[in-house]
Amino acid sequence: MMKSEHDNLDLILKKTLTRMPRPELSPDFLTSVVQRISQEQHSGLSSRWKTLVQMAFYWAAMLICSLGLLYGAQVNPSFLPLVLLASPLLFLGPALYRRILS
Amino acid sequence: MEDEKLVAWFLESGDQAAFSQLVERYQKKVFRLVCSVLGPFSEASAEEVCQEVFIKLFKKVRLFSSRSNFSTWLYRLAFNTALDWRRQNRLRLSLTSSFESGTGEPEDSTPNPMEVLLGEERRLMVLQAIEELPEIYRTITYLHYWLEAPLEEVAGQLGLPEGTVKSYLFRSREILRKSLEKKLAGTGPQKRAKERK
Repeated sequence: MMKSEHDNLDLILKKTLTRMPRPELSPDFLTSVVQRISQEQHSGLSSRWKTLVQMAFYWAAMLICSLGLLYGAQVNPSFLPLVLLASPLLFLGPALYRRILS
Repeated sequence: MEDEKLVAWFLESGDQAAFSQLVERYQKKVFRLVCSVLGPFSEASAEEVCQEVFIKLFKKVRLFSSRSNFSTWLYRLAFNTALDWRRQNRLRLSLTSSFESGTGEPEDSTPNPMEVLLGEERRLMVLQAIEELPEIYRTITYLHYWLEAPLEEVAGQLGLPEGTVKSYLFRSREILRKSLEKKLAGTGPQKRAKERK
């Protein structure tokens, strides 16, 4: 690129962009950040409990269904410990995996 | 007190005052960086994104390793948060609002309406071309030309050597020149004459 072209574009950019309004940070920014953090801390705690209760519910439902299936299909009872072990992993696994990723 | 010591103090004691000091120290610079990523068309959301950056900092400060520079780490967090926000919200060029609220003054005391219109059209073209630049080039262009940050500050905020920032600016102007040439060719007098026919 020629030097003059380079300078022209430099001038055009300066002229165009300095005319755009420049944003200002509000003076109570720090207060709003602190407020939002305390809000999130409270909601975070309650949502954690909510998730825990939901997971316990689904896990119990899964366990009952699996036991029902085992009983209905008259499968060898030696599979029972396997079901008991696998059911929490099935439901808690994806949640834990998501938690690790985040 | 040094940033790293302030972070260590916050992590040990959980004292909000330490965190507030960090926010006060960096709020303006983070805000400028966020603005440069979002561009001049999303002024209203810049502060919201900036708040999000500091909330993320509060949650993730434990992940900060004192081996690296705190400011570089924070700017990276701010840059990524703003970039995510921009990608999710797919910014539109709300140029009407920017012209209405523009601080620009007519260059002439008795402006010809046609000249003003052409000037605005050209300005719009330049702004569109900047918006089409790749992320890093656009951010550097906005930081340097819009927010008038010196190259040293741009380099510090983006964690790049000053020489790299210079070459990125050069490259950005080159892309802009090509893009503007294309745009001008598409709206030149010959094309208008063709359209009239």
